[in-house]
Amino acid sequence: MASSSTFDVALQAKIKHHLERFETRRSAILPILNDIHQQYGFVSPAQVQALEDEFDLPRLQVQEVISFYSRYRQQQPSRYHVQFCDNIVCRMFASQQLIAKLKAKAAGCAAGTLSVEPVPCLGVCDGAPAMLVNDERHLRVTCDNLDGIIDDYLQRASDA
Amino acid sequence: MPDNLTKVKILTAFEGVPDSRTLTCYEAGGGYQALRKALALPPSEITAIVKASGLRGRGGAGFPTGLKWSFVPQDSDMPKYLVCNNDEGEPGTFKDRYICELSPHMLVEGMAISARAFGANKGYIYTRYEFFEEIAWLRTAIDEAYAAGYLGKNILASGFDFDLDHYEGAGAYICGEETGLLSSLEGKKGQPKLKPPFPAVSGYLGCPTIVNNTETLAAVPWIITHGAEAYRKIGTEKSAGTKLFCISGHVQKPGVYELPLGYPFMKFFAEEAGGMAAGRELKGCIPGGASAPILTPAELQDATLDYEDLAAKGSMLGSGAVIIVDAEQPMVELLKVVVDFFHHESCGQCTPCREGTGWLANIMHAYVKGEGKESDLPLMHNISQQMMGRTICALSDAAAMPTQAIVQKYQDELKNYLQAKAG
Repeated sequence: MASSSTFDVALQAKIKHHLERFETRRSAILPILNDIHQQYGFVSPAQVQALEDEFDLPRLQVQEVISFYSRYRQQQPSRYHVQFCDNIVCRMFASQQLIAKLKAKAAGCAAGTLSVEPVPCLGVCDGAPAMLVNDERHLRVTCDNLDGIIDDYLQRASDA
Repeated sequence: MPDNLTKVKILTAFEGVPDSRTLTCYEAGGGYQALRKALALPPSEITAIVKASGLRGRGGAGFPTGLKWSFVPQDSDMPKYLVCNNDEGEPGTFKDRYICELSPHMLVEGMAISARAFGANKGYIYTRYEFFEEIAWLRTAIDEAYAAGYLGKNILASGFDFDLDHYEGAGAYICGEETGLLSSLEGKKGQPKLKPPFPAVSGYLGCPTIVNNTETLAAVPWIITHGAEAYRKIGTEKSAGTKLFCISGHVQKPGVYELPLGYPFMKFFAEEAGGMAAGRELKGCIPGGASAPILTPAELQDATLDYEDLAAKGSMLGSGAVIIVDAEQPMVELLKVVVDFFHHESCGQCTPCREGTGWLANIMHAYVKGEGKESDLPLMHNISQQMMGRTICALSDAAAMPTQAIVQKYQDELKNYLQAKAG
């Protein structure tokens, strides 16, 4: 398993840890998928197959979870994926205009650099409007500061 | 203010204290003394104290906490579990996040005490994954508590074992419903289960399980330290203690405020939150998260923040998420966002919910475009009526109740919108 695994050694260790962590192996599915997401940003069909082949996790059970929860993607996301809250309170603070602005900005970037997804309440309504850029939270986003926040990320991408 | 409505800092005791998340700081402020006290009591006495305190579930349903614990069969030889519902997803709600930010140890201590009460040796905190920082803080608190002997085997040499782990969700509002949460914790789709059996009898993996909200569990250490009577003296007869209220919208000072239950709404709104932001006018208030029916300014004048008064006004205290709606907010837009949300989050098991939320969303999408009819309003009322009380969980009702309230209370505005679009 070690050399031919779909997952690197660190991720293999995490998967094994999760499989032993709970009362049933099935409870490990979400933590395993969350770790795969943390590392790759998505879970591929090959990885789902590998979870079955290498760790004996039934593909049906894994696919059930992937299809139900909104976090799980099956395609590689953009390098910077923005989840913009578009629920009641953020809507009062112009989330729609900000999302439109972000979409226009994403369209002007190289493919695979920036994407935006309107999402339900992020639970930070006192800082509305709110967004997550990958796993970093930004509050009180405005038409004036949005460009600066995103440009910082894009700069990092071009520096890397 | 009368004594019962005098502000007391229980859940926010560490507000403004530097490094309040650390174990050192929490212990310096008296933290984990309640656990020591509780471990010296017979477990049934802990349940009796919490019952007598009048503490009710702070997640939204308001069920008496001690009573819930007493449903765990004590003669069962199955393992028992305590699960903290930290999957804060009700739109407008951000109070549990505040506890994670301020005092994660208060939650850990509350869980250890509560687990002791009904004999759980294993617990989980289930948090929505979008709370990246908060999850890290909770994990640190758990690690610190293990290292200090407040979790694990033979806690403080009492003979009581309690292991606590953290579990993160993956984006599903329905996992905030207790049986949906347990399905998720079992590694499945987060679909709710029919009750009875209630989780206290058959929950996680079919074992007796108590699911309590973060804010509920965090109140337990104070109750053990100060006694049931002291907690009962705060608030009203049916709504004892303090509650976190998270206020948002165009107000001067949005944020989380701890207030005695029964506190006058207008006093909270005007004095704590500072009233409306400059140039904004109050048009309504959703007092308990997206599923709570909206109240008009007239209804708010004498409203008090407790379970009974808001219920009497046809709404609910819910999660304590106070969403202020201002005059610039078109109600047609608000209603569309609400029904879209519930349609998106319906798990799809029950037809009245899966189809009903979809119908409401379809109607509103056309309505917003000016393609609706005045008869859509009674139609939406009727659809909502048929969505209530007919499903496994309360999501369907949660979509129907606010819809009916907006359609009824703001019908003139909704009708005028159509005419303006047509004109």
